[in-house]
Amino acid sequence: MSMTRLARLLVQEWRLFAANRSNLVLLTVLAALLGFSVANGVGRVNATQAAQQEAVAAATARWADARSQFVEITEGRREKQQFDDATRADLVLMSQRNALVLKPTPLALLSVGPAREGHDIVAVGVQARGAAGAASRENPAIRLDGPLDAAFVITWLLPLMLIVLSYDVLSRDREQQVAHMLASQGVGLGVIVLARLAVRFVAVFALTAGIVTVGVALVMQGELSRAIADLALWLSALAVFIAFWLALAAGVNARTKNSAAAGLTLMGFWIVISLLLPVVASQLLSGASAAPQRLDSVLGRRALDAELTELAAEVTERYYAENPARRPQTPAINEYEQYFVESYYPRQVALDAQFEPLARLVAARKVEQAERLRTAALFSPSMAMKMLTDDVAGYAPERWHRFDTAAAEFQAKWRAFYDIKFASRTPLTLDDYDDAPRVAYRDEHPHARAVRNTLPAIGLLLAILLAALAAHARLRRAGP
Amino acid sequence: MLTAHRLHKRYGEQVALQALDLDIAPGQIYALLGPNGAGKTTTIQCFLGFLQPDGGQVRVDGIDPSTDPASARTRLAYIPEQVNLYGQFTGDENLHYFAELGGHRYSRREREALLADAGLQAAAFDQRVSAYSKGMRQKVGIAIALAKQARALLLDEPTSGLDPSASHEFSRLLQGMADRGVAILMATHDLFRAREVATRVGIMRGGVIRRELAPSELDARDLEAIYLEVMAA
Repeated sequence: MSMTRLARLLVQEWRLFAANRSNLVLLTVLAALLGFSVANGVGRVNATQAAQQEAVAAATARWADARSQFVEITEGRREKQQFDDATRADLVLMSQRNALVLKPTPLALLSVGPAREGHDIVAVGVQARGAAGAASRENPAIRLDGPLDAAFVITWLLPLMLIVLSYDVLSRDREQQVAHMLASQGVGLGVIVLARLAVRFVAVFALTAGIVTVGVALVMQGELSRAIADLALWLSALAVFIAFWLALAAGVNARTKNSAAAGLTLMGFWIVISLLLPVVASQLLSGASAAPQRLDSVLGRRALDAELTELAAEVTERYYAENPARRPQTPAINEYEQYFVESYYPRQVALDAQFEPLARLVAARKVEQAERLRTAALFSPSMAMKMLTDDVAGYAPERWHRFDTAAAEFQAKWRAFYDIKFASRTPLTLDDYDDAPRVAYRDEHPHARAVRNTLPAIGLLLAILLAALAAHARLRRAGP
Repeated sequence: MLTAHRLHKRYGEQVALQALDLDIAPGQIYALLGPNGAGKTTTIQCFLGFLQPDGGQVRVDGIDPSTDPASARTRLAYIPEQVNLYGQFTGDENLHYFAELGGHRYSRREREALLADAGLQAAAFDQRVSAYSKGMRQKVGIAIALAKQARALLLDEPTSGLDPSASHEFSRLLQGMADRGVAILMATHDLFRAREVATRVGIMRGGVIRRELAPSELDARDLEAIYLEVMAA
């Protein structure tokens, strides 16, 4: 068939598709769902970015303010106060918490459902690390719409839409006895089905890609070029994912003469691919690489904190025994200074050290689960699409682990720089302000996400290949 | 143009066609008469390549439809007994769609002329086909067949659902196509129409053509008598 004739066939199939109002209604519903989920994602990402900028600005301003107070004190323009003295390490460093932020990836708006609210801002100072996100983002009303994110719509609802749009792509013609007229025209039924599916592919892909790209452009605010690598990877996966469901519909239609049976068969595929396989994989992996729940981690940390508080004197003694140079040479000015320097701070150091194995175990298990899920995604295109989408959206455990590790390293650097002064109550100098370790976290390169998702990508490609081969074999033999 | 040589077709144990021989030259109209289940539709579907013969040969302009159905079908136009079309399209849009599928592009005016030639009222051109009667759909089917400009025409009960004047108009159209060298195979129960337009009539029973005759030598009553005689034999 010549390209001109194929193009004319596509135009005719588009007219046939558009003449069916239910198709347009479905596309409108899909656009509304995608629009809402993407708008939801844009709102969340913008809020995250604002909170991060605010946290970083507040930390920077606090440090600059302390430095200018230090200068004023040393130049005699300001009096030292009991709790307002920029030359005292304990006062300055106990309140200075640097904000280390994990900026949203360019496609973060796709998966705001699994977002770890507040964990993308870590407060790092001499005290134990902690999440420093705005409390309002944990508000239940705000969290409620999280699950209806673009990843959910695209992974679970989009295949349903595709099934409704294509379940009767040929079986309806057979049912209504148009197929004989159709088949007698000299164009193979396979080519007609292909043209029909191509029309649906273009409609759904253009709509989905367009809405997501607009969302990304809104989030990136003129820096869309930074999103190109992630966007190209994700759009390729989306194209394959849509093509897979359409190829499945073609295969089923080639065999079935009844549109209801075709619809039910495709729904069966959806249940197995999108529900059963992910549930089975999740159950198996939860058992095989069980990671402590977030609540267990929080409770474990609290229990550890309570235990260390009870053994405060012992903890302090152990700290000074291990770090004799940090033992204060002068008595504390008051009970606050004594508490923070000699009791609270050693406990914070001990808390971080003792919590570290649990934190490492949780991170390792999460990474292990994600790796196994990516392997399991070879058998379920829906799982592959979800894993890949969550990953380009920045929610891969590997990326979080990398960030947590960087936060721990920065904290170690910060403590190494200050804690001898802090613990030994040595007054600060201007160099201590100016030479402070700088927060400079560089996120992973998008290439890392592409490499990590090789298996889901292979899974998607295998799925489309198998579905296309099966559809081709059946369509070649398909009669009216 | 349309030839079948010792054509066999079975559906399980049921013999549908048995050593059927048929040769329809360009410009001929062959009417296949016979009761339901005689093998008329099976014969047409073998020419279309929708069914694979179990034995024998079938050719459309020398092409075997079972091995190269696309080429065979480009030389054929087909009107089934029940012309079902896309209800969401108008008559004109259906004609446009099927004509493009058949590789022909017509202007709106040309399509209107084709629909008018097929006997469809002008007021119905832009009505959705879902509101059409069976006869109106049949007329669009005829327009689609005309639009294809095929060298052979296969008709399965083409006048079923047409009113007498439309049937008469249809006979006139068939004659015109035959005059332009189109080979026509028409399966029908309509003895009157067969006698009126056919150059040859074959009376089928049990997958075999029992009698073949030139109806121009007979009147309708003779044809009916011969038909009943073949059925009773």
